[in-house]
Amino acid sequence: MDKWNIILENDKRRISFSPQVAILWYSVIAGVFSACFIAFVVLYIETQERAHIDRVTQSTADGIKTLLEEDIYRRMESLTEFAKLSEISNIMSDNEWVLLSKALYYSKQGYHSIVWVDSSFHVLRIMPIEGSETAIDFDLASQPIALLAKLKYQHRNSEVITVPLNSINGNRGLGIYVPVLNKTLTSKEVEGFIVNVLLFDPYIKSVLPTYLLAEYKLTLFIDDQKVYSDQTKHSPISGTWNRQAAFEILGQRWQVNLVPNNEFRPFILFRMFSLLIVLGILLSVFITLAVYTLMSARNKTKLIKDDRKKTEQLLKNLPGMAYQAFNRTNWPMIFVSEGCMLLTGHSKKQFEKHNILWGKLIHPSDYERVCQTINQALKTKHLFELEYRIITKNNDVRLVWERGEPVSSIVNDEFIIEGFITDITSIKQAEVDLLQSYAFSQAIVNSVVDAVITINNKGLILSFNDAAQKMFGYTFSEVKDKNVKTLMPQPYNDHHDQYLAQYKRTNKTHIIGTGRELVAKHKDGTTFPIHLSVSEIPNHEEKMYVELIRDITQQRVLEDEASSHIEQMAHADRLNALGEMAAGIAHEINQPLTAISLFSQTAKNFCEIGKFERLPELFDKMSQQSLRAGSVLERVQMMTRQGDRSKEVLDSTILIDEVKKLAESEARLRDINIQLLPCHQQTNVFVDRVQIQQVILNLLRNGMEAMQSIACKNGALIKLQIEINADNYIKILVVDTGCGIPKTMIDTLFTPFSTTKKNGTGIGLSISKSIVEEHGGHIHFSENKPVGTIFYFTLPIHEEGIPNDK
Amino acid sequence: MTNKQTVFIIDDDKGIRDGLEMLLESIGLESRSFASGSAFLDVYDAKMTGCLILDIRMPKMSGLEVQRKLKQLSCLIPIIFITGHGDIPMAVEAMRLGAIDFIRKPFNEQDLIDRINEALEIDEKVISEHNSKSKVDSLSAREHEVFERVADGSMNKVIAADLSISERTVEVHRSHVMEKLEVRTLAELVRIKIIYEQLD
Repeated sequence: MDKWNIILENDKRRISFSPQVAILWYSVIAGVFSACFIAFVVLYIETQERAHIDRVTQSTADGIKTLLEEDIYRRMESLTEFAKLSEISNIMSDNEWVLLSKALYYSKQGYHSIVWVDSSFHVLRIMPIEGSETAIDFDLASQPIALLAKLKYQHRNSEVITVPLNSINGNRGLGIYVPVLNKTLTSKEVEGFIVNVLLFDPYIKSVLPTYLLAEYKLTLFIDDQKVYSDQTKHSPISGTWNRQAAFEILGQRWQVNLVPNNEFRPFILFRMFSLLIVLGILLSVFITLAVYTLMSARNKTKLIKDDRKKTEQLLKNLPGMAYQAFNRTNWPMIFVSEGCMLLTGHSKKQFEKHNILWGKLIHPSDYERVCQTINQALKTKHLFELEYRIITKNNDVRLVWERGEPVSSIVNDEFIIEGFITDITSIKQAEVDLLQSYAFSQAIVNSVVDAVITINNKGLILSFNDAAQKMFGYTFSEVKDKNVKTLMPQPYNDHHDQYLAQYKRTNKTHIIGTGRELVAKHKDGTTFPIHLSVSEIPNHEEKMYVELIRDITQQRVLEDEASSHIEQMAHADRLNALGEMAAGIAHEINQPLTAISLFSQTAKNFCEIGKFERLPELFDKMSQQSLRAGSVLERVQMMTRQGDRSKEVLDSTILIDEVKKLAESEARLRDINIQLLPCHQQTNVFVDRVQIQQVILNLLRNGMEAMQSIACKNGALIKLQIEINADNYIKILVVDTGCGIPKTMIDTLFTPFSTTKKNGTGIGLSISKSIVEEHGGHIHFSENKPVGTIFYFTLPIHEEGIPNDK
Repeated sequence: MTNKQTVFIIDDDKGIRDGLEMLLESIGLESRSFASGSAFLDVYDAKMTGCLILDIRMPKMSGLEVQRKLKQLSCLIPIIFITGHGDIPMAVEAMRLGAIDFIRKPFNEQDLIDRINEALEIDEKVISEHNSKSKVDSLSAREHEVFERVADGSMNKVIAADLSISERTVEVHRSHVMEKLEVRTLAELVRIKIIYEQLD
């Protein structure tokens, strides 16, 4: 899930890096490229087109030349033949002329007329006769005379001469002159000419194919004299497209000028392509815009989708349902969130398709109230909040909380209601439970025998129950907000503040959770012993404490009795133990006594032999030995003491060292060594020295007996050890390697009169237990691995400054 | 006796050790004290003569153990045990193992001194007996036969016949025996014979 979120975020960042600008750039570049491409194509095509036109025009010009040449020659030939015929027949009849000339005239198109003229260019005959007047249009003699003179002069064979002619009404024509010779044996004389007059207009049209004439503007020059020019209305185009073909016919230079008529074609193309470019650019721009719009639309859609998903997810996770409803009977829903399923058991669809109406789910007895509230809200157009019951699909009754608001609809004047509904059944239940439990605990507090007082962290009283009022004689109003120490006599009242201050500072408690015995003061000034236990009320901004106080006057009396009973028992046990230890103690005393005896005899001997100088040394030694004997007796005496119940602060190491010395005499008799393992730190305990030493001695003797019962086969060392526990306790351990404790005895070990020893009284351990517990400790035992038993007991460490009172 | 007799004291209690040493000094007896059995065994030498005062109850090595160790070393020094209250069974055991006596603490000093003197005498006697025996053991087989018969009071002639040797040879053996046993009179020779038989 997280991984996906990260990826999504990355995507968003990439997209948000001005995607619109990027898309714009891409589109612009695409447009420019396509425009360039189109321009290139256009240029290429145009170049190709020009070359093509060039080639075509040139070849057309060549073609025209060929056609004209060929035609002219053919006409010349036929005319020449005709002239020869005339020559042979000399004087032909009119019919013959008509036939022959007619044949010639119609053999080819383009003839204006065929004329027979004499040598002085008088028309003899003319074809067509009805059009003879046309022949007169042309001054046939105007040009060729000089030539003819030249011909005559030269006596040359008849040659065909062509001469461009201008008609009177401006038509241009070509005259082909074929001399008719009057041949004699000696001379040849030009008798006349057969003149063939061609009109250029029809002639050209007959010789050249029509499409050529349509496509080109044709101009014909003979000897640089313009004889024909296309009369179509196409305007001539620039000279660059002018193509020429020149050729010579019968000594005259013909020149064809050709300009393609539809030279505008490439220009049209060119314009078309310009249009195309513009279109292309426009297209690119459109594409750009389209792509841009598309991309941003996609982006937006994605964002909207994301938003919708988020909203859906959000709504789904709401502990209830969000809704939009018509303000109609039973509030048909326009929209509900997924939470409706959990709340009512009906699906979203059922609501939105109006299969289920919200009003139908409302508990009948709440319905009226709901209607009223909503109608009220509609009138004031304010938020409304409601708590009411609904009946779910499973017929459960749930308590719901609704907050809604009338909103004017966009579509019409109608109001719709938007809001949120959530299940508060459990919350409500918890509230009820809380109230109940409060009432319950209040009842308990007031009915308990013990006084219950709550105080704040300054020690001021916040509550004071009935029992407390009875116990202290104050009413609640008398002590409310007074310091709790008014309930205590000197010096305890001072300590109380000290405790609170210390607890606040260190969070270390002396009393919290455990309890303490103190003295309390009644309203009338009398004091009485109490047991006080304090507990902190957690989860409170300001710390509060509950003090539970029990009057222990009675208990104290009983305890004192029990305690003196323990003391008597302990004393009996000590005496018993001493009796058992008598042998060891006797030995311990015997040693110094023997030494003293030896020294005194020696002294006597020295006196007898007069060695008085040795005597002081001897007396010193005797005195030492008597002190030694005295110390043994002192230890024994201590154990016989009774009734002295004072407690004192003692270093624990000193405490056990003294016991060790006492037990050593017995240990020696049993061939057992006692090893002392004190802890390195000095720890003080507040104890009754005799009683605690009695416990240790008891444990040591038990251990030694257990070891001796198996003849010390696991070694003859018994350890006496002190450890410091974490929770301010010292632990004194006696570790033996003896026979261990039989399983059957484990449960009854500390009960009086249970013993495993032959001559045991069975009160040792039970007395020890009473003593240790009276000192606030515990006594236990465990198995020593691999053999033997560990007995240990704990004692609270005495801390300086804090009175360890009871 | 070339070695001077010494009273050896083994006791873990310094007071007792000091007291005993000074007492013995006051009556002119040589003494050496040791705090434990092992300390004594460390310096023990077969040539030591005198007696041993041994505390029966000591840590680590008890008096009985010291006694056993010394017996293994064929020590002939007589031992006097010191016992405390309630050590009677141990004292009995000590006696069974050859201790010459035991004294209970606290003790009468004169008693102790008497016992010590007795012990020293026994020590001296044991040493001389020990010497006689070794002298007899140094005799050859023939000389031993001759020694026995001479001590029985037989005549040289009878001995010669008995052993089927000449009378002259018997005389030679007899003088050798007298020489080896370091005796001059027949009476002394007889005494050695009696001690020897007792030891056997």
